[in-house]
Amino acid sequence: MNPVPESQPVSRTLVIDRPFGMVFLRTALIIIIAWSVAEILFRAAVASGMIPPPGIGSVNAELDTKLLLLDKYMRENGQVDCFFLGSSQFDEAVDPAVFDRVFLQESGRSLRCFNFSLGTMTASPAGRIARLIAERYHPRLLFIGISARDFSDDFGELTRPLLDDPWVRYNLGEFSVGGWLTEHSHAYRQMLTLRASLNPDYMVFHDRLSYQLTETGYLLLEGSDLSNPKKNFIPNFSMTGEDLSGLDEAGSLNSDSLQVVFVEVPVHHSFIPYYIHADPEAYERLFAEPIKAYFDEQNLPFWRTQEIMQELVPDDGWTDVKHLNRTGAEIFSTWLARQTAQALNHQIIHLIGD
Amino acid sequence: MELISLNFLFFSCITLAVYYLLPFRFQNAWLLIASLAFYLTWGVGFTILLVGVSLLNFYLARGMAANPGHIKSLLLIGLALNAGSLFLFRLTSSGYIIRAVEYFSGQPAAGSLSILNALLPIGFSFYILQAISYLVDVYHKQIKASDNIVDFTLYMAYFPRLLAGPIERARTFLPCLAAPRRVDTAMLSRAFTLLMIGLLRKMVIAEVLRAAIPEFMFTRPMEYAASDLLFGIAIYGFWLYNDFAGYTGIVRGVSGFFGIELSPNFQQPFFARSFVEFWNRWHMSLSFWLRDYIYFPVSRAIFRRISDKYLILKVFLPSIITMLVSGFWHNIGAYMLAWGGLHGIYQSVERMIAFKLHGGIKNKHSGIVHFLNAITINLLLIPTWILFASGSLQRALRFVFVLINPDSPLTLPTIQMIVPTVWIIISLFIDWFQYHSKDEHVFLRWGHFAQAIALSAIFLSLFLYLLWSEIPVASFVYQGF
Repeated sequence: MNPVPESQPVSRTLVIDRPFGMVFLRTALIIIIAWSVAEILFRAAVASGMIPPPGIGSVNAELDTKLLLLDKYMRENGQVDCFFLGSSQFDEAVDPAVFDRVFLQESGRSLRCFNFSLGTMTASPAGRIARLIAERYHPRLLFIGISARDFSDDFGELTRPLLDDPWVRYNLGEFSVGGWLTEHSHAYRQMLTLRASLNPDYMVFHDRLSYQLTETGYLLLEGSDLSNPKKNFIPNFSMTGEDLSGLDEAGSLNSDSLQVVFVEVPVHHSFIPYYIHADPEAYERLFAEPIKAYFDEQNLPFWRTQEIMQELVPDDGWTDVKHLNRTGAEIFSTWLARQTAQALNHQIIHLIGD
Repeated sequence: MELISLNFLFFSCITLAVYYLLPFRFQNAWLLIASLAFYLTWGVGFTILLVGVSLLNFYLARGMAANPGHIKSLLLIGLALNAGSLFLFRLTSSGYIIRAVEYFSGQPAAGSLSILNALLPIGFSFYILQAISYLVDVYHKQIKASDNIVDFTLYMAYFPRLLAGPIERARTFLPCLAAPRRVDTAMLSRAFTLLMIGLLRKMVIAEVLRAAIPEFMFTRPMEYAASDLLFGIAIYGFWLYNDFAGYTGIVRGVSGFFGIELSPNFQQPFFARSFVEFWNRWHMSLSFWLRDYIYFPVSRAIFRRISDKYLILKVFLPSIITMLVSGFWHNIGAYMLAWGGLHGIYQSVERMIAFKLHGGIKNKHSGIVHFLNAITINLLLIPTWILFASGSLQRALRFVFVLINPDSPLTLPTIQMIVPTVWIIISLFIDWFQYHSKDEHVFLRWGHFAQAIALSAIFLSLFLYLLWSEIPVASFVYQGF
């Protein structure tokens, strides 16, 4: 307590001596100077190659790694024309280098593509990330790979949290100090990177990706193990409103300036009977046919691949029953490039500038 | 309204602005209105109960003053009602009553009996102790029964301390409410220092430590390596300290802006050389309440009734009874009784040894002995943290079983240890400055440049924490009591 003797009259409660607040002024100056010095030093160090460029320190090591790869690719090659977006299945299925080469051969036109797929991606965050790509990089073509697993709440542990990431939200038009600083401050990004590097789970993932990802964002996996657990993979399958709103958002990006193409991501045929409800018919009945009908209704291109890949990809083209390896990705990317060239020739899809 | 929230910031600023503009005679009434409005955001029923308890104790004390012949009966009625209501709420909120009803009726309790599951109103166990101490002090004529109902209700409901203390005494709080208050630059500086250190402890240090404690270490200890559990329980005490000391710093800082200095609750407890000293440094407002209203009366009663032949009883019983009451105050359950009992035994054994060796507890030691004593106390505290945090005796035993299981791996999670360890060192560093100078405001004696450097570090830490915080700040541990 700080009582005043009753004999002493009190005119007011708050009595401030001057000068007041000099410590706050000094504090503000120290923070501004320290931050500015850090900003200059980090920018200089990155520019001179002394330290690598900082990531954005998100919850998802793959997003951070791919953003750095994409920046590097764009610095060296210029604007990216097309993106691939999906889960790990699409991540390991499309090699943009193969796609670009075959597309050039087939159509005589050049495209620079980047695979921005993220492990554990599901339909709901895919819509948001698709919008982020469209608004930030202004591509002409966007392929979105979808699979039945994209519509299960059991997946998405590394991508659903991205919807709350300040940088992602900032890039989707929602201002936040954290998002602004991540976008504009090297010093802040270095702190985010340091913070992320103290997370052992993040670092294990980050280190693995650093040698598995190619310069165009393709997740290159070797080896083949087709052992099938023969378990009911998605016991409670349903297309929720949240997931479909992700597809709606991605579909709404389709415009004169951006062609969006949805692509079915294949799985090994031995897996189909266990994919949904452990019912061999369920994949077609509950996923493929309804999703095809959905895209037809929206007048959006949806390319089925399951049947054709069953014929084209040999057993040693699969890393496991859900993912393609380098051999399978070469086949799938080639087929996708040819399909794209044909679709353009037949004006089923269009590219701005053509 | 949570304490760490923009709503509380706006609420405090508006309350403070009006408070400064009002003449003194209206300030207490304004604080009371603000306090009740604040508590209304936690529940209308809670507020009605608070006002009811305040009125009851106010008039009981008035009755005691007006009827000296019935003073003891009125005191006993007051004690029974206050302690009884706390006991009842503890029973209902722990689910014991509804379980008993179901057991005896042989069927699940109907919806109409859901009142038997009533939650303990937030802050109840704190303000009920204030009511008890007030009645006892009036009985012992250490304070006159208040004739100002606004001041008394404000003593019970003052919003900065309403949710989780500190537990104030009427004999110091009421006289100060009756006097005009002046908030000068020195007072503002002290309040701001408390607030800043409190925010650093609560929002940064405690949150970092909380994140480092394995989430399910008590519910599913088998899923962790013994080393994870050891690390988790080793930092648990530091987390609890920073969480609660941080909370106390914040509320004392906020209160300081109103010119009302609340009692300290913590004084560098991890530097304690004995368990008695630990409790003189940990949750001090509760410890001193227990000392004055449980330990001393029990000691006096035992010393009067038991002969010197039973010295061991004279030493053991007061400490054990006091700590059992403390355990009960925290929660009803075997684990809290075990916690209280263990602390009681620690203190009693310590007293016995001290009496045998030195004829009393010795508080002056050389630096190295002090250091070793502090380490010993902190190691012996670990079993008490296990009991306190576990939530049940069964969980505590399961935890210990995994911890001492020779088959459980002992690979220390080195990377995860870095950041919490750094923040524990920072926490101890702050403690050391305060301990060494015997002044919690020691930082105000630093030069302006050093103050600005320290403040910059705190602001940056808070700023980064706020930016990096993707999950809401957890409720204070002590709000649950």
